[in-house]
Amino acid sequence: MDELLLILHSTFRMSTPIALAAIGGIFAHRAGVLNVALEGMMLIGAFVGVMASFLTGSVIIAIIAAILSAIILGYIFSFFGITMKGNVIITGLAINTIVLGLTAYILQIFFGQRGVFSNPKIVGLKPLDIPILRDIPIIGDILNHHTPMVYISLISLFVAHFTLYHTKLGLYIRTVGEKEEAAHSVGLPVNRLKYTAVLIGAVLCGLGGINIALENVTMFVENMTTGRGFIALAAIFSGQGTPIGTFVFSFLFGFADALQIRLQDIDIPGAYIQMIPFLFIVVVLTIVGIFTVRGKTSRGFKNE
Amino acid sequence: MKRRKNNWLKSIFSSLIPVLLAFAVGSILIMIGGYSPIEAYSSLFIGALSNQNAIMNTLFASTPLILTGLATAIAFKANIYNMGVEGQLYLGAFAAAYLGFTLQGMPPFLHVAICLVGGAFVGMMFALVPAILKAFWNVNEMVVTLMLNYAAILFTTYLASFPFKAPGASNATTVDIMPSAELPRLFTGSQLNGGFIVAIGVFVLVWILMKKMKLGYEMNSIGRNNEFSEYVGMGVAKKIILIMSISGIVAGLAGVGEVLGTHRRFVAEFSPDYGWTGLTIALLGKHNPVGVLAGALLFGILKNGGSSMELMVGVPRSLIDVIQGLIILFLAVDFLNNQIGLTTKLKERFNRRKVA
Repeated sequence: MDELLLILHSTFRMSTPIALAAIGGIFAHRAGVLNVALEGMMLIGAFVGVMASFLTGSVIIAIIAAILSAIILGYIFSFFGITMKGNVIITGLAINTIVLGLTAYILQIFFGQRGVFSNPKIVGLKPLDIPILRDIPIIGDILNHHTPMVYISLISLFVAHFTLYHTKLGLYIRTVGEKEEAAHSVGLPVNRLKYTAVLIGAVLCGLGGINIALENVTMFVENMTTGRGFIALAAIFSGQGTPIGTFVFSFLFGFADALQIRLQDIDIPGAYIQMIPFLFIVVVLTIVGIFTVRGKTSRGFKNE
Repeated sequence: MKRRKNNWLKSIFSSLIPVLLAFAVGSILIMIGGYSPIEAYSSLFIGALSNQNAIMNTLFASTPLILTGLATAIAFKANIYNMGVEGQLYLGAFAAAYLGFTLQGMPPFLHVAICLVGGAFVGMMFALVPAILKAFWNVNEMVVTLMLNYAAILFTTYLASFPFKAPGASNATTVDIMPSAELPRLFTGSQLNGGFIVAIGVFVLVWILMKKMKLGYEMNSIGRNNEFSEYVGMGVAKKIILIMSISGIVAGLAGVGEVLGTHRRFVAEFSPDYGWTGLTIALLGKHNPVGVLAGALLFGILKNGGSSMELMVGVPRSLIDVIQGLIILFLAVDFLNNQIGLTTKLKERFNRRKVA
C-alpha cells in the first residue's frame, strides 16, 4: 500500500511537465496549428530558468524568465509558421534543433561547461506542504509535498477546460481550427487567434521546462527534455484534443515513468515498463480508428 | 526550354538563400562568442573538403543521412508522415548485428548480403504496423510512428543490455559481428566504408522508382490529393502499405550500414538522431532524391567540418546544430514566392497609413 502511494506520488511529479506542455498545446491543436515546437519551448524554459536562478538566486525571476523565453520562441514560431505561411511542422522541428544547439552553445561559450551545468548557486523549486491536504489520509500522501508546478498543472487543466468550452476566446479558437474559411468570413482575426493559441502553449511549456530543471535535480543537462514535448503531442492526439482526455494520457506516461523507476530497484528491466505507454497509445488510437471507420458509410480517403 | 532553365535556377536559389542566411546568423553567434566568423567558417570548409581524407570523412558522415533522408522523402512525397525512421533504423540495425554475430563460417559477400536483407526486412515489418493502421482504419501515422520510435529504442536498449549484452562490457553493447559480415573500409586512413556504396545504390534505385516508374507518379498523386487518387482507382490503401514498406526498407538499411560498416556491433542508442536529421534533409531536398543527396552532403560537410572548426578555432560544435536549425527554419518559408508577398503587404500597410 505504501509502495502504491509512493508510486502515485511520483506519478504526479513525472507527469507534470508533460501535462503542462500538453494542456498548453491543446490550444494550438484546436486552432489547427500543429505545434511540434513544444519540445523546444520546454527546453528553452528549462535552460533560461536555470540560468536566471543561477544569476539572481530567485525562483520567481527564474519562472518569469523561463516564461518570457518560451513566449519569444512562440512568437518566432508563429511568425514563420503563421504570418509567413511556412510549413508549421518544418518550422517546429527547426525551432527544436535551434534551441538544442543554442542552449549547448551558450553553455559552452559563457559558462565553459559542456553538456551539464550544475552549481550550488542554482535555487530550485521547493515542495509545498499544504495544511489542508496534510490531514487527509490517502489523498494527502499522494498530492501533498509537490512543487508548485504540480498544482499549477492541475489548476491549468480546469482553466483550460473552462476557457475552451465556456469563453468566447475558446469558441473562436475552436472555430478557427474547425472551419478557417468560416472564421474568416465572419470577420474573426484568424491569425491573431492562432498566435494567441500558440502563446498560451508557450507559457505552459515554459513552466513545464522549469519544472524539469529545477524540481529535483536543479541543473541543466543538454537535451534534458528528452522528447517530453513529443509525448505531450501524442497525449493531445490520443486525448482527442480535450483537456481532460489529454491530462489522462499525460498521467499515464507519468505513471509508467514512476513505475519504471520503482521496478529498477527490484531488478526488472525498466525498458519493458517504459514501452507500455507508447504501445498503449498505439492500441488506443487503433481502437478509436476501428470504431470511426465502422461508423462511416462511404469508402475512401479524405484529404486532411 | 528557357523557362525550364529558369525553374532550375529558381529552385537552386530557393535552397541557397536559406543556407546563406543561416550562415549569416551563425556568424553573429560566432562573433558573440568572441571568435572570427571568417576563421571559423574557413576552418569548417577546410576541415570538410580540403584534401582527399577530409572529403572521404565528409562522405562517411553523409552515408546514414542519405538513407534516412531518402526513407523519409519516399513517404513524405505521398503525404504519409513517416516520422518513425529512427525506430526502423534501430530495429534494422539490431537485426543486422544479430545475423552478423550468430551466423558463422559464411563467405563474406553472402554474409553481408544476408545482413542487409535481414535488416531491411525488419525495418519493413516495423514500418508495416503504422502503414496497416493508416490504410485500413485511418489511424494518424504521425503519432503512431513517433510512439513506435520510443518503443523501438527502448526495446533494442533492453536487448543490448540484458539478453545480448557482450560479456564484460561496461555499457550496453552486443558482441562484435563476425569479420565476414563487415562492410570493408574503402580507403586506408578514413572511416568511409562499403555502407556508402550501399547508400549510393539505394539512391539510384529510389531515383528510378520516383522518377521513372508508375509508383513514383502514384506517390505524387496520392501526396497531392488522395481523395482524387482513390476515385480514379489507385487503391490508395494498398499503395500506402507499399510506400511505407519501401520507406521502412531504406530506413532499415541505414541502420544496417552503421552496424556493419561503422560500429561492427550493436551499441544501444548509437544514433545521434539520424532519423530526425534525415527528416529535415528530406524537407530540405523537397522530397526529391537528388535534393536529398545534396542535402545529405551539405549536412555531412557541416558535421565533419564542425569538428575541425571546434578543434582549430575553438567555436563549439553545437553551433552546427543552430545553423542546421536555421537552414530548416528559413527553408520552411518559400522566400522567392513569399518575400514578394511580404514586401507588397508592407507597402500596402505603409500606403494605408499615409492615407489615414
